Amino acid sequence: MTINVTNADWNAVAPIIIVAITGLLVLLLDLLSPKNISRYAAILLGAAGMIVAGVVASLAYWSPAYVAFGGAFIQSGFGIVFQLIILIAGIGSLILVRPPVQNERIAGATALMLWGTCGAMLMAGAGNLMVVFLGLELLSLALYCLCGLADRPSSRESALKYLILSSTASGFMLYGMALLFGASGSVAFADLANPALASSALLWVGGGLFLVGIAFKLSLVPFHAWSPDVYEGAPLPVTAFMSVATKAGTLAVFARFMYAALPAGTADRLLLPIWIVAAISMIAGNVGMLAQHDLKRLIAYSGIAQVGYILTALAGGTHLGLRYAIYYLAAYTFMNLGAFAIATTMSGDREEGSHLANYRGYGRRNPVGAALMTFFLLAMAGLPPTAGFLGKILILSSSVGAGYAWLGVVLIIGTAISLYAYAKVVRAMYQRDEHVHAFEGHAPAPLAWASAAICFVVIIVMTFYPYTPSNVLPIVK
Amino acid sequence: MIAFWILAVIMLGSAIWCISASKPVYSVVALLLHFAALAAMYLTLNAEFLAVIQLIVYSGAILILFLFVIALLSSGVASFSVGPNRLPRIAIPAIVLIALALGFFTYAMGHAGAVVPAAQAGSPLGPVGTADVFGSVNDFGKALFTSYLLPFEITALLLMVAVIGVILLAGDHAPYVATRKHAAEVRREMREAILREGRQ
Amino acid sequence: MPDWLIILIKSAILLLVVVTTFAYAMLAERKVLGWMQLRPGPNRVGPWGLMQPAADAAKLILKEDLTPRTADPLIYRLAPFISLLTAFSVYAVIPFGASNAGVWAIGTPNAGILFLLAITSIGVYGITLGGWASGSKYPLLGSVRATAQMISYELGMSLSFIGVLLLAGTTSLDGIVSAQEKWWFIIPQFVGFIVYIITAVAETNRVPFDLVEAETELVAGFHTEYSGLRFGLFFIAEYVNMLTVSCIASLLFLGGWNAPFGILPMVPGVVWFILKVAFFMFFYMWLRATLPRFRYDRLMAFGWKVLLPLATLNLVVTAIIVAFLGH
Repeated sequence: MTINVTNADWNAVAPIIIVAITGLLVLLLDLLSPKNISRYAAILLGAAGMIVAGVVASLAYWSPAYVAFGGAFIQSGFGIVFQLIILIAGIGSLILVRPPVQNERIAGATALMLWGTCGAMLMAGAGNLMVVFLGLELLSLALYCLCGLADRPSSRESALKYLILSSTASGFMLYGMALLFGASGSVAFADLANPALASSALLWVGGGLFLVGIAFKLSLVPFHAWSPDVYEGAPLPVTAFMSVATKAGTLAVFARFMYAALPAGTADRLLLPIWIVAAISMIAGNVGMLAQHDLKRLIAYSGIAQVGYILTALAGGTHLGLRYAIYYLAAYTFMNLGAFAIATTMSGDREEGSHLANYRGYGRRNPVGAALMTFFLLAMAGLPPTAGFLGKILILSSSVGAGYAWLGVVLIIGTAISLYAYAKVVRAMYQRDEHVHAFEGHAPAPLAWASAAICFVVIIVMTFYPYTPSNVLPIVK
Repeated sequence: MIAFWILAVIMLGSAIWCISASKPVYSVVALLLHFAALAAMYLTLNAEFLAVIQLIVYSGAILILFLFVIALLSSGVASFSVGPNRLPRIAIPAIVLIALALGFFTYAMGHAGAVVPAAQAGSPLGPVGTADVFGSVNDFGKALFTSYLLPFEITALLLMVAVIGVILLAGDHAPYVATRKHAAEVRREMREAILREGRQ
Repeated sequence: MPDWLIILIKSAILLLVVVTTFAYAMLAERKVLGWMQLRPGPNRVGPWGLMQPAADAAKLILKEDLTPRTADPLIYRLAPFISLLTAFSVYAVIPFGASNAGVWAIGTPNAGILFLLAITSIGVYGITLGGWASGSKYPLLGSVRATAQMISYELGMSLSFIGVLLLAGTTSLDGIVSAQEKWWFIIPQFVGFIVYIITAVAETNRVPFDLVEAETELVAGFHTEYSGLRFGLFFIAEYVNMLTVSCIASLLFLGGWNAPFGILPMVPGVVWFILKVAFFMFFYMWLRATLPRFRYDRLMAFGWKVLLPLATLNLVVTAIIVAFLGH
């Protein structure tokens, strides 16, 4: 089998190429400049590259889907929407990069973040298992290194933990892919959808192992233990990036697998474990949140539950469910980035402002910051004037419509539990406490403030103009 | 077929030796044997290029680095032993699990169904070692640069990310200019010392 | 005759030839070194010292075989055989003359040159394991140096091969030689040739890259603890490896069995091939008599910062030329 690679194929991956080349440019600039490249230069160049890539990607949104590289990569509305979310996550976390990532490492950190974005974008458009795996590894490799960037033991611990556990999960996933290949004789998603495979035992085992890998990357409950530890040790911007980009990329792969790559009639049975696991995650994630003392750990547990919400929307496999899942994912992206931006404004040169003790009395020290933080936390909890609330309503409606009402019930219970955890943080910010932990060295962080403001505005807009993209049904052919 | 069974026994035996060996170096030797048998297995499967690459990349580059690290870390002939040997305790569950898995896979392979591989029509099969047959260097190269061009390019990016990540993590933390200055100072001191010695 | 019998006979002949070559290469080296240093060299055993190799062999066989108490017995015994096995098995794919259905070679696989690389890359295990298993510090240092040196220089070596492969358009050694009927690849691939020669010396751990042995600092490097026949095996492996890289140099860059400018058509190709190999062997001895040893950090810096970029540049330029002009 040989294919001809044409310019149209390269155009389909143009956004990814742009991001990858921006990473090289940042490194090259750092090499050529007499001193180290300044933080703002690296960040702005990286962000500019990602914005250009986003514009290029969105230009193709309304044009007909294109299958590039003989099925390896698929340019369609589905992939483009996920790519845009990943790019937003990339930009939103890149502009938070600051000490304790030292200046000599800024260029490298920027480049790695850009390349990690490339990996996630590849996952969003992957048309065969090989590209899925390579994209995932590209993202993961960049993240292992990024996690270890801060000069403190917990950061190295985080990198090592992530490396070992994630490699194990990749092993499961790869084994599953090998069995899927054995079942269909091809790595392409398109050939998996062959109805003759519905009774193949290899498909069931392979699919099961593949889903184990997916569940690990999404940090669903039996495979979730890594995420709080890794999130806590990693530098703040990396945690922000990881919490969104990994999930978005993996969700894209999962949705494509579920919607387009399974033989008809197998989805309900093969994916049932995922829905059960999602239900457990919604409860366990929110319960786990109650005991946390660090914002990063809190968001890790919150993320476990939030993925459960998104999967609830996907359950049943309706087009509407997918649209709502994407809406919620976008809202989740902005509220996460907003919360991390506020945490960044509280960081000093040596210490990151993610420990919850720092937030005691924050409401009096900085009313605007506290108000924004409250807003983002309420959005995560899903309280009314936010996109989080609307997203949950939409998810509930679609899950009931698709016959997965029981997941909706679990979602409501989980939300109720989570309210208490989020409220604890809010209360700490506004409580009158004479023994305020005097937090030293608030370096000015204009970019982080801007990011927080933008996230706030976007969430408000999303709430009042709830646009859900319609051109997103994943295709494989 | 005889070759398959001989190689299979060697591969399984060396794999078991690898995980049960008392000294790390024995594990490396077992793994080397395993890789060699695997390469031979590839040859019997008509995958000439894969066999050679298996030897060059895994045995010649990756495994030798393992050995390098082990030789440097445990310069004597130290064995693994950090605590009691837990292998016997998991023996029975492991055997049961392996039997289950084997049984299942035998079943699954038997019921895999006759799904015709989607697009395998390409190079013909032929004796190993000739050009332009399936698995030869030519065939591999063609597939790599047409059907699998995108994965190939991503792999290039992946390797670059790995290299740069390692440099970033393990590289010199001190500012570069200072290091060079330091090196120059050391050299000057050495020159002066030599001159002093010479005069005496 | 059945195929397997032919292969067996060929292997036996080749084994004899290679071992004899080793014996007299060793003698030749001592003679050449002697002349270059204005002394006679070995001249006691037989006329002009011609029986010296036999005497050396007898000495090595009769010597006591010592195993240090701290050594790891299994690996200690295994290591010399790995070295020897890899050194000899390379000859399974080296053609000595124009192919005529493989009369002059045991096998001519399509991926011949890759097979060569694969086998030689295993060869380093003999040295590494031998040094480690001796359970003593000088061998360990020697073997760690050897490992680092060999895997570093292997990169440059492989890259210098690729230029030739691009020009020849094939990975079979037979095909590469036939592609050189008009122009030997030393002319278009001069940079690659230089890189190859340097890396080949480093791969075989010879002067000026014999940091592995470095008798002034490491006693005898990785084989300090070996004696008798086991030492002999390492010794044979080293010379056979020299012979191997000389063969590869002749095949890849000097046109193998092709006569220079097509002169003297009545001389069989294998004679030209042997002459070329002999030239490289002499070159090795010449180097040993001429050059001092490198310092270790210089060696690594040279490999990574000079040879590797040079080989890469050569590869890129060759690739561009081949892409625009064809083979």
